[in-house]
Amino acid sequence: MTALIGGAVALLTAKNIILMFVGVVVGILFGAIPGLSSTMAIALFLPVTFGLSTYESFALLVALYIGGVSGGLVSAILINIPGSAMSIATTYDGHPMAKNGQAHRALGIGVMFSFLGTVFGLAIMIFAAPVLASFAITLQPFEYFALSFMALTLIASVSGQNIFKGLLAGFLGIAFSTIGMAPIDGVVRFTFGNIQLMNGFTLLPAVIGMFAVTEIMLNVVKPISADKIDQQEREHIKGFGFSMKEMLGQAKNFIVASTIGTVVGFLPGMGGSLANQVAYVAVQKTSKHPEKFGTGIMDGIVASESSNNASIGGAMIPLLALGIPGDGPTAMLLGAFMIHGLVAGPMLFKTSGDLVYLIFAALIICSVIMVVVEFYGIRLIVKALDVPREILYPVVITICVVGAYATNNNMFDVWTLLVFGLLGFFMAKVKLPRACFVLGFVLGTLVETNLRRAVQLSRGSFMPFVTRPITAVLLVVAIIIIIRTVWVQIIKPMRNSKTSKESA
Amino acid sequence: MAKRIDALISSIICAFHLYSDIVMGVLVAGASALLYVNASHLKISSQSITSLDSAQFVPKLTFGILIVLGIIIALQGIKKINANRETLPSGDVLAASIIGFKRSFIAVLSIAIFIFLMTRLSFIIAAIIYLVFSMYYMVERRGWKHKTYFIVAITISVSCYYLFDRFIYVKLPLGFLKGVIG
Repeated sequence: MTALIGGAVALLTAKNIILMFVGVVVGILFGAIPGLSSTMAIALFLPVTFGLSTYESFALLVALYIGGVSGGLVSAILINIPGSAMSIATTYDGHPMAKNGQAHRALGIGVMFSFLGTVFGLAIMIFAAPVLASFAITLQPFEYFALSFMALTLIASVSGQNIFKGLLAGFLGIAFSTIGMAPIDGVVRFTFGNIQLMNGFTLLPAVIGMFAVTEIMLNVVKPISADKIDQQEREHIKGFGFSMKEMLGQAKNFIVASTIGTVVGFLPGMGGSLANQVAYVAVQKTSKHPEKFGTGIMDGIVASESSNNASIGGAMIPLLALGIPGDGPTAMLLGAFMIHGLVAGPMLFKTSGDLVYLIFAALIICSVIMVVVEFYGIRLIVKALDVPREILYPVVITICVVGAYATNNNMFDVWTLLVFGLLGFFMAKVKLPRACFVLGFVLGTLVETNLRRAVQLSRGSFMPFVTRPITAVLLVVAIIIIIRTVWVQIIKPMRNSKTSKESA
Repeated sequence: MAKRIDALISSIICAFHLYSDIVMGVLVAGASALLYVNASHLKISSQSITSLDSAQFVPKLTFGILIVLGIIIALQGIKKINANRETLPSGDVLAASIIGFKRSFIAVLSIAIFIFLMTRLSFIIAAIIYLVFSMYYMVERRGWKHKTYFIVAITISVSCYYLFDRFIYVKLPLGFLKGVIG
């Protein structure tokens, strides 16, 4: 604790605070604009940090990261386009709430619970880091396979009205993830001679296409009157747009979502992009009124925003203790830390404890700055709604195109954007859930890689899947979810229709 | 001519309303069957220990499941044809759908042309053309001043190019302007 306060004191100089402020603002902007990510923000500012001291650069980089994770909620709520994969689930309830004329309230909830989620994740990180770090070393491909498999079943079970369409979308996603070189042995699959496809479709342009481009194609149809609905309530809302009582009522959802966020963030390769979806589903499943989810209720925003921010704390543990980054932005951070002489790994807490606590302190101070910036910025942010769609949509598309190009510096990714945009459009027209597709696409590779690694590790034996306790528990949970889904969504409706036919 | 196009679009919309599930199911099942066969010819590397651990396993499993799901959805679609026929769009709804179809079509086509022109005319010029065109034709306009549209288009395009060039070190395509400005 003294070390933490020491780190905080070292950070509290005017220059550091200005740097953190700028970092948070830029991070929020990068997070909010679809196609730009916090990874890109960190990459952009990396050259800037060469001229700064170690303390100053860490302050700036951490600020960019915090702002970037939280910024995604703005565009998710206002234009139904997640600024990054971390806030996909925020669109489910955030945008409907904004459509009901409560954009300010939705943003207020998002900001507040982003902050609380960050603090929750960081608190766990600071107190549990040593224990969790030693535990992480024991995880093997068996556990990773079981975990990603379970995540896949969780999502398929909430695929909307028609379970078969949800499954179809999910498996289509997995099918797309198999394009390119196979994991482990590098066998080239389904490229049909196209060299660009060797590495498969890049995730970022695919996701931007599926959400941003598709969303705009679906929205161009709407008449002008669709813009005007949010005008009424804006003026009389003060503060965050919700009462203390409402906030306390969310305590259970908050704890469930933040815990999931921290745990998922902790697991390398998962990160906030998975955390928000899993937490949303978990909160919905444990809710007393699951049918209201998706209509614009507070619980949904709380689930998504507290979990993705809680994943920051989780992701920092393997990053610092093992030197394993959890996702894109943490990988960038790791690189940046190394440039400044911080060698992440099990010995870090001993060799450069002061820097570790400096990073912890920076994370906490930046989340306070984030809440201040977003709180006072909400008025400005909500003004974004006044920009007419005829200007907003083409500009968003242009930035998406630039973002897709910038991922790998090639035109193939830009065409990927358009192809996935079209695919998403047709999927929306035939009512295939796009979120299921994206999850299949992301998890497909993870499931396959870890399954094959696991099988190679056990020399072809399946016993470790049963005898390793964590793997066994995760797989049992997955099987229970599958059985329950089959029961609730297929067998029950069939029985009901039979009995109703008989009675008729 | 315009009437003919409208008639064509309305028949597409109606056919889509009636048969979309069947067509999708059949397409998915058919394509999956072809890809399943393709997957069985994939090389199995000598590293593979069991049939589970080969480049064939996950694709085969996925396409196998997709064939079944495609058939299920096609069958569900056949069952629903009569119900769909009762909710067939007509009158104002159909007219709105026709406009929507045209707008979505214009939106996709203009993005495709934008991307196509990006490497030829340079990002800056292609983006300005795309932005101005889309501002006028993509959605129903709220009617800002014409000047505003042009200013926004030029600002966005030029600032995107320079910000990415200077700060992120990403050079957007220059097309024939190569050597002229960069």
